[in-house]
Order: sequence, then C-alpha cells, then structure tokens
Amino acid sequence: MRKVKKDKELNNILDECLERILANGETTEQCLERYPEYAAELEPLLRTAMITNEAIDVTPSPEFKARARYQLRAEMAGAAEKKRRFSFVRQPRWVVAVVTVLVVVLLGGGTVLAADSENTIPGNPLYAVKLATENVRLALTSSDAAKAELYATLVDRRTIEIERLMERGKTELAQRTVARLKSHLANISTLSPAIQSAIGPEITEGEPSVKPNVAVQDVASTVREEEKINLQVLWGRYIVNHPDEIRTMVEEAPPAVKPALTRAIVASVNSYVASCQKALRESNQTQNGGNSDNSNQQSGESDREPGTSNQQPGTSNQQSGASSLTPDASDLQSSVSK
Amino acid sequence: MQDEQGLVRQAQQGDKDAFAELYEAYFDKIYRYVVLKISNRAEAEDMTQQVFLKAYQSIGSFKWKGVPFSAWLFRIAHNQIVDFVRKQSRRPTVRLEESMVSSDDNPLRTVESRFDIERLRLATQQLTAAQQEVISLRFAGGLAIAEVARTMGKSEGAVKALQHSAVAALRKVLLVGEESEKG
Repeated sequence: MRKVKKDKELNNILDECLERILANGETTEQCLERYPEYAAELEPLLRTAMITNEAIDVTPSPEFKARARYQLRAEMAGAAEKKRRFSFVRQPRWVVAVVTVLVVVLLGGGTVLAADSENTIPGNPLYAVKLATENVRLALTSSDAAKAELYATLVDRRTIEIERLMERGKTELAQRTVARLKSHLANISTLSPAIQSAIGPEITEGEPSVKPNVAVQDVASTVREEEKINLQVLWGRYIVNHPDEIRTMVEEAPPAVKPALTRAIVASVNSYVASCQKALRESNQTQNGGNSDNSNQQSGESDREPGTSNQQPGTSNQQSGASSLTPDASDLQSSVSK
Repeated sequence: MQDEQGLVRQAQQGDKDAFAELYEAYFDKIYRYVVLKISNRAEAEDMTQQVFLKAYQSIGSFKWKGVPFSAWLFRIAHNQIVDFVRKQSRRPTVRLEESMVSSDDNPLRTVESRFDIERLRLATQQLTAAQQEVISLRFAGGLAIAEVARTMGKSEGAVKALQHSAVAALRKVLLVGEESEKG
C-alpha cells in the first residue's frame, strides 16, 4: 500500500519536473534539489527524458516547410475557388495591410504594441508576445514580395536584439537569436525560385537545369507582373543592405547555380537602382514645380551621386546605374569565381 | 497564438488565415511525431503534409466535446501512420536522411541528433504501444499531460504512470544498447 502511494507520488513528481524542464526551462539539478528524498530514483529518469527530448529536437528543413506551405495554400485556394468564398489573398494589398493592422491592434491592444518594440529583447516577459505578433503578421502576409520584405525586417530586428544581448553578456540568448536570424535568412532564400522566375529567361537560359519545384513554380507563375517587379526591387534593396549575407549565400550555393544566382543578384540590384533613380527623378521634378524640361533636369544633375543620371529606367541608363554599384556586384562575381 | 477555439471556429467557417495559424502552430510538432515513427525522410514529409490536408478538408466535422484540437490533429496523424505501417510492413526501413536539421543549426549537433533520433526510434519500438504513444505525444508532440490524457482517452493519473514506466523502460533499452555496442 505504501509502495503504491510512493509510486503515485513519483509519477506526479516526475511529471512536474518534466513540465518545469520542458516548458519552463528549469534544469535537472534544480528539480532534484526540489525533491532530495526522490533524487536517487528521479535522476536517471530525468536524464533519460532529457536524452529523449534532445534526440527528438529536429525541425523540418526550410525547403520542405516552404513547399508544404505553398501546397497547403494551393489546396486552400482550390477549395475556395470551388466554394466561391471571400478570399483574403485576392484583396488589393492596401486592404490586406489595413486588415492586418486592425487584427493586430484588436487582438493584442496595448500589450502587442508594447511588446512589438525594439526594447523587447529575449529574456523580457513580453518577448513571446513579440514573436507571436510577428508570426501573425507572417501568417496574414500572402504575397512573396510582402513576405520577403517582412523577413528582411525581422532580420534587422534580430540583429539589434543580438547586439543588445551581447552588450549585456547574455551569450546563450544571443546564440538562440542567431538561430532565429538564420531561419529568417533561410526563409528569404526559399523565395528565390519566385525571384528567379520574376527575372525571366535571361537568368536561366543556357544554365544547367536544376530540378524545378513544381508547386513553387505554379505559385510564381500566378504572381502579377507588377508584383514581380516589386519583388525584384525589394530583393535588390535587401542585397545592397546585406552584402555579407549575400556573399555567403553565393559562396555556399551549388556550383551549377552560382552563375545564374549571381546574375539574378545583379539584375535585382539594377532594378533597385532604377527604382531609386525614378524616385529621385520624381522628387526633383516635384521640387522643380513639375517642370520636366531638359534644362531643369540638367540643373538637378549636379546634386546627384556620381554614376546616377536622369535617363529613363529600362534604357541604357540602367546599365550606367548598375555600374555605380558594380563594386558590390563584381565582388560577388569574384567570390563566385574563387 | 489567438485563442485556439476561436481559430478553429473561424477555420470551420472557411477562414484560411485562421487555419494557416493553426497550421504554423502545429506543423513542427506533427512533423516530430511522424518522424519518431517513420524513419524514411520523404515518407515522413509526405505524411506531415497529408495530415494537414486531411485536417483542412475535414475540419468542418471537428466538434469540441472536451477533446482539444491538438488531440484531433494527432489522432489524424496516428491513423495515417497506422495505415502507412500496415501497407509498408513488409518493406525494409530506410535510415533518416539529411533534411532533418536540429533546431539550433549546429552541424555537429545535427549529426548527433540524426543518430540519436534513429536510435530513439528503434528504442521506442521495444516499448508497449501505449508507452510509445505517451513518449510520442509528450516529447515529440510537446503536449502537456492533460492533453495527452484527452488524446489517448485515459485519466491523467494513468498517463503519468505510463509516462513513468515508458521513461524507465526506455532507459533500460538504451542502456542495453550501449552495453552491446561496447561489448
């Protein structure tokens, strides 16, 4: 009778310790200190449980996750087509943005806004809310372009968090944050098939064939032309702002795809440059009272960065604009050839 | 994550984003649950996808009767695995492949985890069906004991006892394995 009671107690204590360790991050030693009278029986069980937990700590590869996500979305889109239901994905982007903001604000209110700040770093009780908010935003973001932009923002956030954690000597939390950052970068790289599709035949022509992912290609083929251009510009901006990551990505890419990848990067940077030039030109035109005659454009020329000009994007100007950034592009080219 | 019951209700009304949120919350857990029972990487990935496609197609039939959504989802996974094992019982198993990565992206740890999960899978096969299920749901699925109890249709006390006996049995199997490797 006494043994039955003791067994029952041990069952409860073992479960309590496992819950504390698995869910709350307590150590085995802390649990053993809590129950010294059971330590001899508890310790081997907890050690085995920890080995089990570590062995099973595997995550699906980012490529598989991206593929599965696309296939589920395709399935959901197909089902929605049949039912002719309201489709969140097909709404204009401004509708998605407004609804997203409303959902986030209504769901979380002040807590979400407070958690979603730069001051909320790992170790802060509100950090879980911050991550959850990011996940909601990702779940509500449908297009590749918007997703790429969001992931790029998350990369910047993780970088700031890592800096602050290192300043405070919290290396373990910083390492976990580095893992999160790497995961964001991997997610960005999974969007590259759609980006390559956006760039067109110039990139893939004559290159060794890489087995295409049918699901990803299907999704990419449905992306509207405007969105493709936006995606290319966003990717270009990310490349310019993160040269080291891009260099590493090129260095680690399989040799067969390196030339195509490099050309894709250069093409995206060109698109970004063209977009910057366009914005600059429009800004200058506004400052000049909307007068776009040649003399005004020439007067604005002296204020511009060397290498940029007032020619139309998509013409030979793109080449000259690209050449102003060719130090980056040629660095990448040279790192490929090494 | 938003209140799970609310998300399920929205998903049942055709809200794809609500379902997407449930999907993100459970994808890794279902994958681990499947991986612990199916060693072939491609099969495990296919099965994980199938679980969610099946869940999406039949979420309208799910009813809250004291059984959480997680229990329903793991039940779908369990049934798919049972079907798969029945069909594949005469085929040889294939070792885990490289697509399974440890969550901390450490290459050394990835190798160790790959080895360990294969060894763990073989070790759990020495346990009773109920013990295996507790280990799968508790560690791979990351469910709390109350959720495991509702998934398995048992009392919490019974599941705690099963958990204890499962971990103790696992320890014995792993120790025997280590000794035979040394010998």
